[in-house]
Amino acid sequence: MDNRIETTGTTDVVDAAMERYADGDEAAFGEVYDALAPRLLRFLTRQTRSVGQAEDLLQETFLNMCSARASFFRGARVTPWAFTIARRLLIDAGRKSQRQVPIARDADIESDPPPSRSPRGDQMVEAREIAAKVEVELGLMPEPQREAFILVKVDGLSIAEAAEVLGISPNAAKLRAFRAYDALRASLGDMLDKEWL
Amino acid sequence: MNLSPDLKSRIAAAAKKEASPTRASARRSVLLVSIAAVLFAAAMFFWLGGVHTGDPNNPTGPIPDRPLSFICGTVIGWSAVAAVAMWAAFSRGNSMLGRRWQWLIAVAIVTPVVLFGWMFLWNTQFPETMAEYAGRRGFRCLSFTLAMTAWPLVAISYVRRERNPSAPAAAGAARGVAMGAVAGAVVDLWCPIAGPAHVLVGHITPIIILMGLGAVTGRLLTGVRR
Repeated sequence: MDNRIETTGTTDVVDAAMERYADGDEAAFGEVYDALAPRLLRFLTRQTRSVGQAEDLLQETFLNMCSARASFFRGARVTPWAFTIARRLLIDAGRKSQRQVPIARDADIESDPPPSRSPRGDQMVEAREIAAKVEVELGLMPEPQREAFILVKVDGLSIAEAAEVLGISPNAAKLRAFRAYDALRASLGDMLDKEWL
Repeated sequence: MNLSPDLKSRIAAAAKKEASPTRASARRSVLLVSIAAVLFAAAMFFWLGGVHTGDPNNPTGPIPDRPLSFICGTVIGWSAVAAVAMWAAFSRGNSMLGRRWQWLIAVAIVTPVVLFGWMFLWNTQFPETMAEYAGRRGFRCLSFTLAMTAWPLVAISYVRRERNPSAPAAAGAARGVAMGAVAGAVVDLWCPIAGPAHVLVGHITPIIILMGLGAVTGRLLTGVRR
């Protein structure tokens, strides 16, 4: 589980870029895209198990943001808004296809070549094994806990941002993410990186 | 997660084709619609005769004047409730996602109840205002309220260019109720009848209709689109 990202400092930059885009600076769109697209695509790909479908949903997310840029008010945060639009599109897509969209495993969506057997390669293999086990455990969790955990620990949202995306209080989001972490720790024990604490 | 090389250019090209007014132009549009709505409502109000305290020419018998304190009390109360409802329904707090659906539903449900309760409270202070009149069930008041409010509700939802991924229908319902409450204060000045049955049909029912219209409009115009 090495894809946790640091967001400190980037949120202000993307919010400022969105401000400029809302004011008519077309070039700022690229900055908004560069800051948000990788995170949104990871979020969408994990949920859809299809890179193609995730890219389509990513495009729709950005188109919704573009058409509504005039409503972006000064001082607002763009990240929770973008994630909530993506989540809404995901839910609608799931309803349309009349099936529950299962959480994807990295093996289903990544097609990287197998790592070499060097010491560094061994570390990568171990990391992938842990990631795969985490994915399995996440798949067994109740949906609300899994969502909160992924948004906070994988997609790098703050508790407050995750709470906004999920439409719950920050305390509830924190509790859900903690319960998910607790369940992971119970089943994976020491394999789980101390960093998750 | 690797982004495919052409994805950015594909999305950027699609974004350019998307109709996306800037903040300044959307603000101008909202202002224009708001001014047009106020002018239209004022024109209708005066065209229909302005303030009516009573109606001596009512075909089924004269309607006595409502006491001035009754008119002031009800109109000021309705206006205050409408102002609070407008704030609660249109402000988004400090989040792009707007207020939670529970808050919005509460605004949509509580506002008409409070308005009716306020009117009934004043009815109890002035029992003569409880009278009902044959042929004046409230359909004129209902039509007047809807004529003043329905089109601005749709137009403002459109020109604000919002995307509410959380609760577009609930937000729309709350806005419909809030705008209906504002119109209700105007109609209260115009309508000489204050009987509870008339108020329910002519003054509260249009607010409920606007709640439904707002919910549909919110879902269609401000919800996330695929």
